[in-house]
Amino acid sequence: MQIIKVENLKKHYDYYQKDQGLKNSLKNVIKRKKLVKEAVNEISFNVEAGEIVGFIGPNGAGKTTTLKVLSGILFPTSGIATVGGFTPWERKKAFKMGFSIVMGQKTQLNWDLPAVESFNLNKCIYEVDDAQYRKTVEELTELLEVKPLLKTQVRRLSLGERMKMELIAALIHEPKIIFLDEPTIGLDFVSQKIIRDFIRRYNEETGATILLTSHYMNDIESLCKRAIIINEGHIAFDGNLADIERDENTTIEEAITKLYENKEAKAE
Amino acid sequence: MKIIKKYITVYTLAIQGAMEYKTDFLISLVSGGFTIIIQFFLWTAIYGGSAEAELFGYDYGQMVIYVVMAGIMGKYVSTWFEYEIMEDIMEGNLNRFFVQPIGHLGFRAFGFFGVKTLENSMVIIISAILLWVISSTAGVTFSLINLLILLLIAPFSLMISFMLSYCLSVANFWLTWGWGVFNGARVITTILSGGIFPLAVFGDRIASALMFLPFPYIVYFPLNVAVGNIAGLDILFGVSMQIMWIVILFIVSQIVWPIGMKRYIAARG
Repeated sequence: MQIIKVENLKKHYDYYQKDQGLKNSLKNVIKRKKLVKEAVNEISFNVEAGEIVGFIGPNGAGKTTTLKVLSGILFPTSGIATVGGFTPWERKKAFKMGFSIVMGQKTQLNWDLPAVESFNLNKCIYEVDDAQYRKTVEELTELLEVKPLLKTQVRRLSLGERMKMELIAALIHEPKIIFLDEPTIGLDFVSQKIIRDFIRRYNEETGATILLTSHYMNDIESLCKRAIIINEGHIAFDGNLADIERDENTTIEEAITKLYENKEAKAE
Repeated sequence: MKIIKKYITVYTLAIQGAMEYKTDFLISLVSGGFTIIIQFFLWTAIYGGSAEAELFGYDYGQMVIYVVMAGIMGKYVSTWFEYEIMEDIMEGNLNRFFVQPIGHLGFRAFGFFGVKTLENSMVIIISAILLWVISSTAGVTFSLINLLILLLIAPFSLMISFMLSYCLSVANFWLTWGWGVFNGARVITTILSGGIFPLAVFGDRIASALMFLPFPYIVYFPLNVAVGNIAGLDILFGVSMQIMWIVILFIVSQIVWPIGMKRYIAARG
């Protein structure tokens, strides 16, 4: 079953540019030239239920924008997308109840209070019953090795510890679809591995569909059979990681870099 | 039932969060006390130098209670979340309200009233002490019943103040940095609500024109009840005006917020 369907999705932003210098700042006060950034340009892909798909691309390629559109945060400029049978940007409650998004660079935890308070808030927001909530928190804190930190103010946690808490907070309602935007960013390799193993295990045990972006090829290679490579808003490759063309002497990174360049050549 | 529980959790979490900052709030309360002391001496001098016992419709005792309580009401109805919403929009933290099944207004309102429950308990205790000190030293008398009525109608003032700030916060979608707007709005709101001195000081005509705006129902109306210048059925009329403004501002927020939300681009990674 195809749980995520994306067809000709496009997202364009308006933005402004200013030339260097005070004079140009003053000029911009009177009149600014509007420019359009084509963050995502006519992309199409499908994801089967239960898959872990890696979303790869350089900074600014449109990965996060795509995830934001798929989670209903942004309206697309044009195109169609259905996630779990819903159009994300209609923001229906039933849709919200069934998915979760974790952004490595953002927090949804209350920094002034221990993480367990934020878990409890999510429990209430998603209307999870007590028994299930206790079971989930018990299991996930055990797996991620953060049980002793549950009552520590989030402000005092390390980046890795906080990220683990973010993951737990996002999984309280047992979402069927999970978007992970750079969940291992800035983490040491031990934490990276724990989170990686956790994601794999969670996918195996619950059958949740996971769309994951990362700049660490380790993450992608160990978690995802399939990768979608996106560059400058276009899909440069969609298929099995193993199928990316390369000879024995090239690393996967080099092969992917080559794909970026091909796309650029095509765009010109 | 589960929906109510959602917001009650937001409310209790806000109280817990505010506990972390209680010292900061107490210090800000004490520093606000200086304005009150200046006001007290200023009006004592004005009445001392005047041949009349009554100025702008207030005798000396009423005026002292008014300006002292105006300083306290200012703290009671104060808002801060405009700046939080500004950050949410700048940093892209508003995402949560599109992603999770929880409403932004509800989240803000219950969070606000949570923090306010804690802060305003301190405000009420301190104002009781202050009133006792003033009455025993300056020989000013006040009616306990009127003060109890004030305690009952002040929550409506708080709600108007909340809704005003919530509507104003929508400006954040157009401005990247809204400090100037909010600070300016705060000064104007304080003056127009009678938060520095009674609106009667502006003259009758301006004062009665201002009554068509929501501001006087935040401070001026409840404090006039406290000093006994508004009584009986006029209190009921004032309270219904308060409720009317809460409803009007709620409707305004439901119109302007969706317009602002459309501009949201979920910035930053």
